[in-house]
Amino acid sequence: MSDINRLLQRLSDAEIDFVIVGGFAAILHGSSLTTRDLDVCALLTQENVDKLREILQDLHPVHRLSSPKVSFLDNPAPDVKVNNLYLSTDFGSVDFLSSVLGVGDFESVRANAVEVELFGRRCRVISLDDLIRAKEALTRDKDHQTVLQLRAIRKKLEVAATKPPTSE
Amino acid sequence: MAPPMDAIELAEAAGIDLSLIDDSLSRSYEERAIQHQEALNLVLEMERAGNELRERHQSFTSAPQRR
Repeated sequence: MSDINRLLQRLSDAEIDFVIVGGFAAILHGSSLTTRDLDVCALLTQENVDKLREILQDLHPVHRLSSPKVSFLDNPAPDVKVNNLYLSTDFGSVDFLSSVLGVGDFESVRANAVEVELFGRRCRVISLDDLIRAKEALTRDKDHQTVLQLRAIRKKLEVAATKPPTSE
Repeated sequence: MAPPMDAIELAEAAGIDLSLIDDSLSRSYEERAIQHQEALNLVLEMERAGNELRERHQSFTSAPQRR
């Protein structure tokens, strides 16, 4: 099962400061591509990791890339510093990143992020320009397709912004 | 020499359907998220059906033949 919207609502309710990045951010900016996971940039402090454990508890979160897959609820141990988390849950995959390639750390990503209304909650989304930079820093085919779409979206928004308002 | 293509022309040249982007831009952020989930559900359902069909085909072709 993959329900990114429910996963996002769950994260929003955790009162963790995060920014939506990656493919889902591209969709929110207008891309027509699809993605299966949710990528967010956040400060992975012990306090935030504890909050994540609490809100994801009933979704059986496991470390997706570990073999065998170990539970996130008791791994890593409290004294181990976490940079990134790649989790699989009952609502789908969610990745927590402490920085974004091409943009920088959480504070850099957050500084330009835009706030949007989603499901009755205010969420931060990486800015269109930062997302283009992030996708340009990656080399996969799908990232190249995303960059082409995002640049076209930026151009369309620029053109729309320069058009005089239509009178009724 | 031809002028360089702008971002919209480049996307079109790469085969991107810009009408889908126009449609998406006309929607709210929440509507985009909902529309994406519907598209993802369809992708996952087609994938599931494809896997099921493949398994049935494999079990059919690997079954012992009667003589």
